[in-house]
Amino acid sequence: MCLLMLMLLVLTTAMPTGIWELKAQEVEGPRLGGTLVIAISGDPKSFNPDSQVDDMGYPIFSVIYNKLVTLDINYNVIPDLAYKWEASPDGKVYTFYLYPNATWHDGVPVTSEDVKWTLEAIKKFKGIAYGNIKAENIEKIECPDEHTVKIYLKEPFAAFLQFLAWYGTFIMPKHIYEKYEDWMDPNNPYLNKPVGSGPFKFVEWVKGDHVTVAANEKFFKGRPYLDKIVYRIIPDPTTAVQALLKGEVDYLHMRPPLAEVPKLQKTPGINVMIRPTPSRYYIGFNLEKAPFNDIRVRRAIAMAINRTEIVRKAYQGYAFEAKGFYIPAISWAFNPNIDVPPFDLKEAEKLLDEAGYTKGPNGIRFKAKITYFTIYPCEQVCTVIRDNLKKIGIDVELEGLEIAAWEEKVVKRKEFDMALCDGFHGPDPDNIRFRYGPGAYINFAGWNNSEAKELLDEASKTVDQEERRKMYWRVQELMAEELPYIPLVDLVWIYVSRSEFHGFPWEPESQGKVGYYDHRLVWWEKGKPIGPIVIEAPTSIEAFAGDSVELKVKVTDSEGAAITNATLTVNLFKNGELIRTIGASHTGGGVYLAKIDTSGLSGDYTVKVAATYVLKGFKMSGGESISLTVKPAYMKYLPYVAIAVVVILIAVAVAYRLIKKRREEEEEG
Amino acid sequence: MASMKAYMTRRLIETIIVVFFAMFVNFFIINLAPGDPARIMTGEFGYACPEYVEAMRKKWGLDKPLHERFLIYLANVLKGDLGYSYGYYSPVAQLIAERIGATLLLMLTGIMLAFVIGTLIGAQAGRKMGSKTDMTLSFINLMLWSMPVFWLGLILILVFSVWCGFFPTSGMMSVRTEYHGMWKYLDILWHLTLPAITLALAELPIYFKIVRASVIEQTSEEYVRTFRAVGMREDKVFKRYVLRNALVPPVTMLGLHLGYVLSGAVLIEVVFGWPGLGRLLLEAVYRRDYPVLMGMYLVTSICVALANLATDLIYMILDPRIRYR
Repeated sequence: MCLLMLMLLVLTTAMPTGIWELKAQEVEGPRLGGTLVIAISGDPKSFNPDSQVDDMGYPIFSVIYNKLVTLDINYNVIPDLAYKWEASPDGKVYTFYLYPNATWHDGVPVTSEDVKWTLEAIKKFKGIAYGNIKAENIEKIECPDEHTVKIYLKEPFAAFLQFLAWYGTFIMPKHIYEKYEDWMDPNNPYLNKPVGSGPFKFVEWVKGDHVTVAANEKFFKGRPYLDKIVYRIIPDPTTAVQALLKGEVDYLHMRPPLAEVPKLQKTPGINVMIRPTPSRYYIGFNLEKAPFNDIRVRRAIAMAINRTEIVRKAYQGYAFEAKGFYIPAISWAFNPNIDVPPFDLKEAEKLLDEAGYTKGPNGIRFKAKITYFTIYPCEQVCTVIRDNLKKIGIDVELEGLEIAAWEEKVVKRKEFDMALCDGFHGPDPDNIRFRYGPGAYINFAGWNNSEAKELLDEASKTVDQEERRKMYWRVQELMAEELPYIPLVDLVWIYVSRSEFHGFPWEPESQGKVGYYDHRLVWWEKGKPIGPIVIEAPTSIEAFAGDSVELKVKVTDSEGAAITNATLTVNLFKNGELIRTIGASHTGGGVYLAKIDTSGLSGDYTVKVAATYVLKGFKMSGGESISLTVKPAYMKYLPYVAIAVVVILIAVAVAYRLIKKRREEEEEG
Repeated sequence: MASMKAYMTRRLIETIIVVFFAMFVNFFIINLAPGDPARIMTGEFGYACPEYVEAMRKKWGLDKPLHERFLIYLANVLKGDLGYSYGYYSPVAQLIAERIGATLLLMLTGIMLAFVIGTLIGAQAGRKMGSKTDMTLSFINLMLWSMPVFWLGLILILVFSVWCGFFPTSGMMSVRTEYHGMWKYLDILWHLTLPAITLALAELPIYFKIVRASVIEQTSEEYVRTFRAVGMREDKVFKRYVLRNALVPPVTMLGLHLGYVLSGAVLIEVVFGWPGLGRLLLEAVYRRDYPVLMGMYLVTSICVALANLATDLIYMILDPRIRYR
């Protein structure tokens, strides 16, 4: 026990807790420009984002297209094409309000008709989201105006919004697809060169090598910071890591080999971030078969499996031991009061004895087989389980099958004892219904509990989250009581990126603002600075009416580099009222010249100089106020008059003296 | 010459029969494999509802009985249509055509390098059997032979790409900067270097071993002794007679090798991210993309059959003793 405690301690210190923090940023604020190269492991299937499951295409679709709403890194629903939405109190009508300035990459505006067409197409052509959003449950879709969509459901469906935000629900351009009878018509050239509405525009797809997208300068939420994203297709993760170390790749959209992770964490210039995902590995029993139909046997097996050891041996520590019967990542639906039976070999042996499976002369109670699919590290997980169960006298044989064969044998023909499975448990707890729920296709254990079935069906129609929470908590209790499945480990996502790029969807500055694969806010340290541009000009000028004043201003970016292509607006104000606009021209080296004609002016004025400058579609601006005092034109001659008066006075004085002298001489003479 | 023509005609007909037979076997083996392509296509369990899976199955004709599907497939192939990939949503012929360039570039460079270098050093080792040169070369050869090719590839990446920085780690072209005109081709060659060398190093031992053994065998032939006895220069004996005769087996090997040129080098393509046909084949297996699989096998079997034909022809030129009936 002491040893186990020690092991736990070592694991908790070695494991993810400390990895959440990121290295301090050395460069301030977002910058513009640069190419982000992302390693992905395979080609997309096509660029129709809604027609089929396409895990390689999904990250690319996420920057080319938009959904109505999307999920951020924490699986919260956030705005995408719709800036606002409402559900009616009965949960049957959803209203979405679209950004009015959204356009497709070919310039056509995005309207509510596109949304309507997309959702109807998902229903008509049986898109991948057909089941998720329950397309048959959509009664009608109305477009009261160009930027409002109303979706009427037949039955309330609690997870509707979550599923709309998730997979296969990208809004597609009606004006392109409606020309073809089938949305996967091979004659449609846009299947291979998509037109979307997202922050990046498609550039090219060299099959097997890369997909390139470029910044959409007219994106309705503002231009993305990067110029380009290249998705490099590198099937081997080891090579991808080498490419990252060499700087050919900036971010891995794949899991690095776990053995490389500690090295990557120590490498300067590389950021490693580890976050839990809503994906979980679990084991299911064949409930129709002895001895697994006996709850005592199932409980004994659950108690004998050392999940700490699985995390350590099969995942090198890069996973979390599963807690409870749903994923903690979706916290409101997770029942924290119940847990998987604790690791206890003695109790396990006792339960097996009670169930009548006593040890034979060779120390074996019975034989069992675990069927798994040959994806790393299923075999390693099962090997640990085999060693664990051997200790309580169960002789386990491993059977690794290719995934399709696994499905055939386990799900369809039910020829198995225990089977290992994994899967995504989000984005809504309705997932429990179609994963573990009685009657669900992949409920391979064949769990059949009428109370659970009723609760799950009811919860999927209830809008009130608190009501739903109660029902899901009860279902988790039932799962814990009957143990048709034993949760094993929750997976982590390991984000590896080069540290000269910032603003990834998992970083604090982008959380809650972008979808989890949207790199719109990613920026590069070596890009051009964004921010107010600086105008150097005199703070005040004095002039006489009628003069032409030459105003020289220098325009630079925030780092002092001259901007030669700025548009300057020089406005003359008096008491806040615009008098006139003055033209300005560039004279070289970022110095601009404006000539102000002052005839007819008098008194105090303000000259407002505003500069705007468009860098790669990104508009930046800056301004400066200069005070101008115009004196009356005669003031200009005052000094001359003064001099003239003085000269005349002197002349008069001199003349007077001379005359006086002459008179005195005459008098003397 | 008439007999030659008749021979060629017969061989051609045989080739066609072989290809047809291969097609038949391929079709049934692929389609009888466990696992339902419609399910694989529709992805992870739980997210594909039965209606969706059924719609896909119908769309790709997977709901029809096997023999009917074979007849449809056969008719299409005869029309020159290799089918439509449901993993990539493109015609299979187009998918294969897109990658043929990259595959030929890698395979031909690698195999020719292996053939030339393997033959040269193999002949050298065989000529000086038992010498220090022979021992060293044989030892290096054995090492290369026992190295797993993906490992060799990774080591080359580590040394020449990451440490020395001479070559890119992977891919076929630079993506950060775009090159045009001649620079584009040079860029591709630069990317080709490491994968081609890996392939050459991996294939080289076969040629080395064959040539070495064959040279040794030829050297012990009586005609060599006779030539030496009449005082012919050792150099001439070797170059004109021994080497020429010893080349027959490696050329056979080369023929076999070139037959598989279109199936690509899967492991090397995966390690180096080279967009060749080997990866297409591998991905088709994962995706249960039957049309692509059958298309690839068909192309490969045609290629193998043609390569065999070509090898027979080269035999005739190399060795006048070989006569055909």
